Amino acid sequence: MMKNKGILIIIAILAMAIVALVFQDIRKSSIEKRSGGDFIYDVEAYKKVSPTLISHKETRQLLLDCSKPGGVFVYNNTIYFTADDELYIIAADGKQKKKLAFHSHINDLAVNDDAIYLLYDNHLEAYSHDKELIFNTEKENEKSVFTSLVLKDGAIFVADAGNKRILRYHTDGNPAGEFEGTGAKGENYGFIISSAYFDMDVNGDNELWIVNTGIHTMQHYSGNGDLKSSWKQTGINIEGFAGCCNPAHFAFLPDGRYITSEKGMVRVKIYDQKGNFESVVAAPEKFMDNGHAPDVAALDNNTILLLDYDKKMLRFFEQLEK
Amino acid sequence: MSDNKYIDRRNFIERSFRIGLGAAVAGTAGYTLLKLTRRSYVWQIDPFKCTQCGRCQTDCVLPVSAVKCVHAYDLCGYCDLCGGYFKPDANELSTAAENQLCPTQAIKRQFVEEPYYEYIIVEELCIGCGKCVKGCTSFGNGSLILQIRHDICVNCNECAIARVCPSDAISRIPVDEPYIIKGDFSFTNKS
Repeated sequence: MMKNKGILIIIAILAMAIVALVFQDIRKSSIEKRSGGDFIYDVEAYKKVSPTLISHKETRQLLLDCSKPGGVFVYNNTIYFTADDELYIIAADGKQKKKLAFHSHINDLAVNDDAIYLLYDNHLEAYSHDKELIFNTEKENEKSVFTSLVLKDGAIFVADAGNKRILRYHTDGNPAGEFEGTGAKGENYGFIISSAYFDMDVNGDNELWIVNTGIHTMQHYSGNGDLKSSWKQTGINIEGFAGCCNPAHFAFLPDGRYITSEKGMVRVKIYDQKGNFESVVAAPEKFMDNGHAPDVAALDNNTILLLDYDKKMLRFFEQLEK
Repeated sequence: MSDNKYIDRRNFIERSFRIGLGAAVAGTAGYTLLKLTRRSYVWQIDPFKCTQCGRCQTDCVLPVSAVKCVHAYDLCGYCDLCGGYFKPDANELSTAAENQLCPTQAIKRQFVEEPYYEYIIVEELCIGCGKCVKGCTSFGNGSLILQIRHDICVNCNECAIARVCPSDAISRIPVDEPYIIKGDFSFTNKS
């Protein structure tokens, strides 16, 4: 009797052990827990940014009821931005002043005392501040994709990503020439633009800066297209620009530092006047994975504005106190 | 009086052959028509849903996965620093094995002209792990994608990879359009 009891206990223990093993095996091999083995490329590490590098915090978001935001521009500390075919004019505190509707999607814009200049895929239109048409330019060829617009020395400069060139117009809309870029050291291969990201801006010293995205280089050109200076940052780490087309957007802070915005692993950073990495405004975790680079602009108090194409928001980032 | 329904042997054999031949022709035509009108399906990966989890390499029933990297050249930036070719910590932009992201060196880097480089997939070496696709998607234009190659795939009733795909990126698609390739939108959308 005792002997049978012992055998029964051993069998029960063995059965329990088998059940435990089977359970553990099922748990381990459940679909959710399975991984792709040793061949997974973990890019998450590159999305993490040390808190000591973060210089700004997000303070406000304006949700946009639109299908596709366009561009953002600051003039006299007033924010002008476009979404679909509409132009929004808002104060620095986020209060809306005016909303104007136009005929089709606006890619970018620039504003001065005389006019509001709107950039479409292959032409440019200028309106008075009361929305009266001043001029519209001839449509360029079907390969044109106009992506950026700046005003400098009484001329209008337009970046054409499709044809990899900068077009120049007089303020009455008449063409005034064009130029192709050069390599980082003056090589004659021009602008390397492999997607529809081709940005430019004018800093406080009235210098025209254009980003040659394919070689991760910021280039300073004269109005005639002569390369004056440049700086380059290549690398996948936080200090550099990676991929085929970065930085996709940039703008200047009032003191001449650069705000850069990258696509793919979206991140917004600040570089000093000499092109040295300084800090991170917004880490990749703030954006959608493999997203579009937000357009950038800055207010007088160093608040940075990001026009987020994926989340369809205008986002405000204020500087953290040191 | 009754009808004489007698058929002689010769007539009977002739008639039988005619009926048989007619049935064979009609059957063949019907079968062909059915084959032509019925849509067959094959398994394929939607590159817009794929998250490059690595399971295509580990879960295919074949010894070497039927999933391979495919290059959509019209999206490629032909970059010197290619996120799909180089490890993030590569010590220099050269073809040295230690700098390459691909575990089997299945991507060939070829100089075109300054500053362009072309990247060619050596399909025989590709194991479908998707490391290069992840690098290209995270840092570049996303021109490298994973696709099931139908000259290798055995088209299982239930695809073993589809069963474990975390993003439901694998589904059956009509055999007359067997690949889902990115491309041809680089200048119509900000991609």
